[in-house]
Amino acid sequence: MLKTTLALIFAATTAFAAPPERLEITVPGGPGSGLDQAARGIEEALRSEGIVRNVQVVNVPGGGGMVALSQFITTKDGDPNVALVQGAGTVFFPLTNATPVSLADVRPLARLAGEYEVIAVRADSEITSLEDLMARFKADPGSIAWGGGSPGSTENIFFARLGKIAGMEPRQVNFIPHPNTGEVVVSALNGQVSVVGGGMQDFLPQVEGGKMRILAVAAPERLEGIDAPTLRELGYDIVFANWRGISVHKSLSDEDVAPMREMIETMVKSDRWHEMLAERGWLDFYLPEAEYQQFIADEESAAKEILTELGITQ
Amino acid sequence: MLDTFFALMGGFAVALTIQNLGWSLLGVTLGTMIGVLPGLGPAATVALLMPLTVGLDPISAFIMFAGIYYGAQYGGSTASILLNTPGEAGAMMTAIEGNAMARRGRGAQALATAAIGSFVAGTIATIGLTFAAPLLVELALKLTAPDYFALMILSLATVTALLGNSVGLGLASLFIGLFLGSVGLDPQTGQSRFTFGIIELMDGIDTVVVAVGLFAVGETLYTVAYQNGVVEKIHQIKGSVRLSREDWSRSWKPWIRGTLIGFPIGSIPAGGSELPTILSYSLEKKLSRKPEEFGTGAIEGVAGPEAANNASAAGALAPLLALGLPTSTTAAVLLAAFQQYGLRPGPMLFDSNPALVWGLIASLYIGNALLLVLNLPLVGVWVKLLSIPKPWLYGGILTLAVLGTYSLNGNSFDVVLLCILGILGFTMRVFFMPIVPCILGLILGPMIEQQLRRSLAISQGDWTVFLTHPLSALLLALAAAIVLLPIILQLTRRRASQHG
Amino acid sequence: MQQSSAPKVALATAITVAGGVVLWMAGSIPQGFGYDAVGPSLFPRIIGIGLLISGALSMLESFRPADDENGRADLRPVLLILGAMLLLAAGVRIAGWIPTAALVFLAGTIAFGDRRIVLNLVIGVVLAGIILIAFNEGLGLNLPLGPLSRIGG
Repeated sequence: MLKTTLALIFAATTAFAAPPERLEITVPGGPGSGLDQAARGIEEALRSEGIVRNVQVVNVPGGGGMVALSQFITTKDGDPNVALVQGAGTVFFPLTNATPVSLADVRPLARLAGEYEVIAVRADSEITSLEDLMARFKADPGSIAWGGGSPGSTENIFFARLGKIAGMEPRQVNFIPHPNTGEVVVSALNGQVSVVGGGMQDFLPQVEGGKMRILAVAAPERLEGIDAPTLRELGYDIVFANWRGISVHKSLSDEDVAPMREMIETMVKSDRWHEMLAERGWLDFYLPEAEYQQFIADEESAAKEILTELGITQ
Repeated sequence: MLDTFFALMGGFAVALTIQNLGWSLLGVTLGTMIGVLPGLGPAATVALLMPLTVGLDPISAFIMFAGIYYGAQYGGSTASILLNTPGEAGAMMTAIEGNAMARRGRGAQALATAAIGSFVAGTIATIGLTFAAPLLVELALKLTAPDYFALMILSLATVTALLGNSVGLGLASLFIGLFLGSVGLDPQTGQSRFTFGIIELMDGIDTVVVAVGLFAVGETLYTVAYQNGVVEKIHQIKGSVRLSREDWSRSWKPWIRGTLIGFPIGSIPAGGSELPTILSYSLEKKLSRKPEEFGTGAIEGVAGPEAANNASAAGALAPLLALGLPTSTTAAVLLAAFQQYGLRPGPMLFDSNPALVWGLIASLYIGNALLLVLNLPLVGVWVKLLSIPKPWLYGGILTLAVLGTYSLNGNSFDVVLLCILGILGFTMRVFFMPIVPCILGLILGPMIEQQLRRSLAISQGDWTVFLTHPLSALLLALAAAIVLLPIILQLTRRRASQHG
Repeated sequence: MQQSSAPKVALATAITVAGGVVLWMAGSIPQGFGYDAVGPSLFPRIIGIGLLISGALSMLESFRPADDENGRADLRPVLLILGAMLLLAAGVRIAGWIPTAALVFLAGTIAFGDRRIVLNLVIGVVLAGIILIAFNEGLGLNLPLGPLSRIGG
């Protein structure tokens, strides 16, 4: 009887791996960047829910995130208490630049949050709807200037794919890159571009202030609180999001990874996490390891395809 | 107009409590201390000190931010003047003339004119912000890429005033700066340019590394090479530490002009903070009765750029407050601060949370005034810093330079770059190559290229777009005039003397 | 005493050669396809040509009589300082901030003629230590601790 009890207790304790004592999160971006905000969000949730008491966020900006990635791979061998945040950009960057490393060199563990891309225009723009936009685009492709982030990044790929679905050549999309979100909004407001793309949060203040309106969202279903159709509804089968997730070092065994996995599972179910998602306008994009890795592989191959057609792959 | 005034008074009522004054004082002090460190500009300082404000109520927190912000600016100009370590691009012009003045024993005057100029500019600009922010932003949004391009070209045209005696070397300096600015990924197509496969170079060369390398390190290397190891003190204070009447009369107009340049350009989304200081410097040199003094300590070269810098920082808050658009790093940090308090700046901010906005604006005035009141008497004390024996002084400067550079990204490569740029700065000094064109090239080059290519992409390759936009055409004509007029005048003068 | 124009000629040559190199490298930047019609290689080409022209002008000007001069240069302290800085770049992650920064400080003092090595080393360590504490604890930045990280941390 005693033996059985002890055996059960033993089994129970090893099956339930407690979250790690401490956690260090490497951020491939400077303070204030998108990935940094994600990391600090994770830090806050973990600490206020008491899941992990000692969380440290380390910024390693530079090289499109590759400096951080490279450093992570070389210095965090065998360390079960460190994680790396990444996003869509981390997948896309190595496709257009010759980098020594990529996400294939780490072990993606879970996708956590994100937001769907939206297409927006200045409130008084002559473009009345998405159908109107696409009609003008097809009639005279060069006349539509599409504003978004860096070359080879989310919006570049998003618009190119949209153009292709509309039956045009990806290269016909006149993509106007901008170094940051602020400039994208400015380009929309001063009218120099016809449309802009980005996350909902980027344009929300302007939409609420009546200066911009949303033509469509690239989500599977309509988004709460936004009176705009999905691209699917309008006949363009595309769903596109800017997402964030975390990875650990490839050298870790499944046993080593169990505490971290436990930590994530607890966090994404916690109240504080959901509160925070609501506060920041992020969506719950949780995907566990296997599905996450498949997701990354799918995103990468779709992106590679379109980037090759654009001629900017390396 | 009147209700704006009352709203502002309301803001003052909130901000002027003993407690909040205390926060302002704390902010100003901390800001100054940290702003002195090279590489840490006001934005970084505010970002670093933000965690300290968690738990304060929003208005007190913003009052502290405003204090930190102005304090950091002042700390930065102090470091530029005394130590030749500009912590950000906007401080570089101040470093040129200010440090030259310090070397001639006139450091106190440089500090004083910087402090007073910043106060004057900050006050006028904040008044402008109070009454005209939405209008200003509306005007600013009428500018599009071709107009920006033309504005940058106009700024570049002013380099003709700064080439110095040797046109060849001056131009070389400009093109070296342009080269440094083009290293990295091309912003339009993402192609790697001059990166030699080094991923750290993909983001380009940080302006701070160039500033610290060319100024602090370059100057140190030059001094040590030609000093033959003499151990001595430099910077004896000449005469009193007060501004003479001549100093005042030479400073007040640059203060005003600097403000008038800085505020509007600061409020233009892509204006940047370096552009106003560069324009102010060139303007003051052109208008000065003693242009040859520039480079050896002309007080106008401190007064104008300092005012411009401060005014443009206030101007950059206009798009933030009117539209929720951060157009400078500091504005972005403030935006993050707003969000920390659950506020979302946007076109609705003035309406949805007037107390906070007016409290913030009032605290800008207060921070500005506090800074002046605190630091002006201390100018004499600060300058004593320069009487530290050279070995310790320069040892300290080098250590700070390395600190500022390394702490940018936590990356050793930046320190290597610092050495390379230090060697460049050294070489430029040995051959009396002017440094300002290099900075102009570094800062303006990428901007010019981006606006040019953006304009052409939107117009689908049509070059006439620069002439069909009226403002662009005007500015380009002005730029051409600035470059060609001196040449034409010289030619006609020569012909006249030949025939005479 | 007139300064020889040899160094100036060397500089002018260096500038011209740099221009040539930049122009050559610009040629191998792949063109974009975009609507901007100008591509990423335009500016690099302009820079290359600009350097060539500046180099040529500088060459002409280097034969003008010199009205400014420097005197003799002692390059050893320059190399000392650069060496210390490069040492920091190489070793800061391994040895930590304190020893490498202290050496930079020390190199600066020696370069300026102060021979009190032990005193300056101590000052350097103290200075670096204050910076480390202020930055790591006060500001949350991360200067490397090197071997010190094994103590507590």
